[in-house]
Amino acid sequence: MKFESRTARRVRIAGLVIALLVLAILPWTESGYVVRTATIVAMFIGLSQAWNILGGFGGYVSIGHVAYFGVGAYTTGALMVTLELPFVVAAPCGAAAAALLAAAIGFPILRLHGHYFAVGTFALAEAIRHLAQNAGWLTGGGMGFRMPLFPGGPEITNTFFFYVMTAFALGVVFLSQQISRSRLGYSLFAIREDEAAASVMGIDAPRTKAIAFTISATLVGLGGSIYGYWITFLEPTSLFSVDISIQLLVIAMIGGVGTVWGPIIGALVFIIIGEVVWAGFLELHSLVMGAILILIILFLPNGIVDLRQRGRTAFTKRGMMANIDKYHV
Amino acid sequence: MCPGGVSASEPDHRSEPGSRKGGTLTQIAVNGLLLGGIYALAGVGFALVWGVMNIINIAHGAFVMLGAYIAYWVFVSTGLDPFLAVPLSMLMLFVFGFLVQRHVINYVIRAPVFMTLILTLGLDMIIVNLTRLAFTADVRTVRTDYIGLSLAIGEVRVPVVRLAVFAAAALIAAALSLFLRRARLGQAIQAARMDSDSALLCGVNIGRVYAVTFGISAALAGAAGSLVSTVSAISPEMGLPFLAKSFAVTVLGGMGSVLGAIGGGVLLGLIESLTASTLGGGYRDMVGYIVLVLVLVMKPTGMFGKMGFD
Repeated sequence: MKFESRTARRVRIAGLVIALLVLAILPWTESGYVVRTATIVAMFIGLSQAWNILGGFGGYVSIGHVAYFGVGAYTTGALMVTLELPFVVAAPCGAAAAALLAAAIGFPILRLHGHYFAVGTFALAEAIRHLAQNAGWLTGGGMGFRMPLFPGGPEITNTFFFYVMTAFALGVVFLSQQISRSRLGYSLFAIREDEAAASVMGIDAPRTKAIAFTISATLVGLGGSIYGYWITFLEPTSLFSVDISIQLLVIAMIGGVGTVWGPIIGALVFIIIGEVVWAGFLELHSLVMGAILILIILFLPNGIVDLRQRGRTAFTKRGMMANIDKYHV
Repeated sequence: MCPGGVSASEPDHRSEPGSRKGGTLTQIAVNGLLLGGIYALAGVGFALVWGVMNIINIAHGAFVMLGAYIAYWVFVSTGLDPFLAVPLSMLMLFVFGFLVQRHVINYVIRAPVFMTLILTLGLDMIIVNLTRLAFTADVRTVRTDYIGLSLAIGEVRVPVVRLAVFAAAALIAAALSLFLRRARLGQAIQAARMDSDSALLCGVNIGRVYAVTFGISAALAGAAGSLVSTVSAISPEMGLPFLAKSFAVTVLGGMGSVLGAIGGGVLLGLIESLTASTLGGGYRDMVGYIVLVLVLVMKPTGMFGKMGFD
């Protein structure tokens, strides 16, 4: 860990306190729209951060994380409807279901590398989506099913879920930061750089990867549990949509894959730009988003956090073209 | 061919073959084979790009969709048969793919997995959005005269259009195989697949080979799309299932060999057809994905193909 002067530390703590205060009063001063958007941002910060533990730290790019999101939501929903469990009990069960699933498939699927791992996770997630769509006795099938509404009016609902999602995001960010400085984190970095070399150094790669995968999936499952109760209507095509899996990776990418700040900045930028584009150019939404993705990949492949590292050279022609010179043939 | 005759039936041909439960084993096999032909054609280009350039092209489904719209547009504006539009859509998509590789993808060709993944995703979003602007999100169909015809051979019914689609797909795949084996450029593509650095040392212009490969891949997707337009409805979002099938075909068949992709496609078609007739149409895709994961985990080199590079 880098040394930090006392003033720098004070500034950092002051910043954190102010940020928390702003978050605490936000639902009382802003409109419902802003609060709901902030809730979405918080959700994607948490989800993308959780994805980042495996995909960013470990370099195993999953495009199937929506499976754990959906399983979390469905488990929570089923427990709240059939057993009438309260949300505080059902949500951890949702996360636990996601954890079980990840632990069961972790070892075999993590034997795959690179593109194969990406395709394998995608296929698994799609298989689970089709199962949810067809196994009507289990999930209500394509018709979906309704969860009990949150008691209270829309204002209270918005405020409640804003706080819960924010707590979720803060928790995941904290955990991810702790992991990045722990033995597990360093093992993952080593695996990302060179798995064979990491194994030679004594890192139990399969076990490390499986642990990271399970943690990542559990947190995504928890996020799904909260989201399910928020929208109250569970339906497979949207809860298991491959778009969610891809958004997690896109957000991490925009901010900076493999860094703790990356998903935070990425989610803020991605969701806010998305909202602005929705409002301004509804018909061109995916065109604009697609163009932004391409430009970021070409000119800022290490994400927005990289701007700080590149400093002044970031926007010079040479700085912009650095990546292009590096990777083309 | 066995005597049987051609009869016009009710237009149930638009439902995919093998989406109904039941049927004799021969019928299931025929359905699977016909379905597999189109999967193979859609997947072979995807496998080629994956094998040669180590890129997962998320926009491949969008290329299939473009091919379908070209056939639709030609059919509506000139009345020309969609089968005759195949060369046009191949040509247009070749040029498009060539330019996209040369001016966009080429810049990150040696970058890590997620970069090329997201770059092609961005491309996919742009193509789908532009198509939606040009043609609206409405679902469209190409209504040819011979659409309801089917051959009855004993118990087995074979829709004529699907047979023609299969034949055209087989023809194009054979031409591709011949090209990769015999033509100088095709051999250069093979060399680039096996070892791009050595190929470079032997005087292969890798940049151009990559662009041509990508163009060919797009052209094959376009051909698949144009053929598909004769048997199923088209919309700007139709690409995703084809992308997913292309994943499966590539994994089942291995990368870079045309024969492998055909084997993978037919195998996938048979699996889906068999699942649909035993478990019901809803589970068709699910079983396909599960088989895909199992093959990945147990035999990552594909059922037939050689190991590609990672």
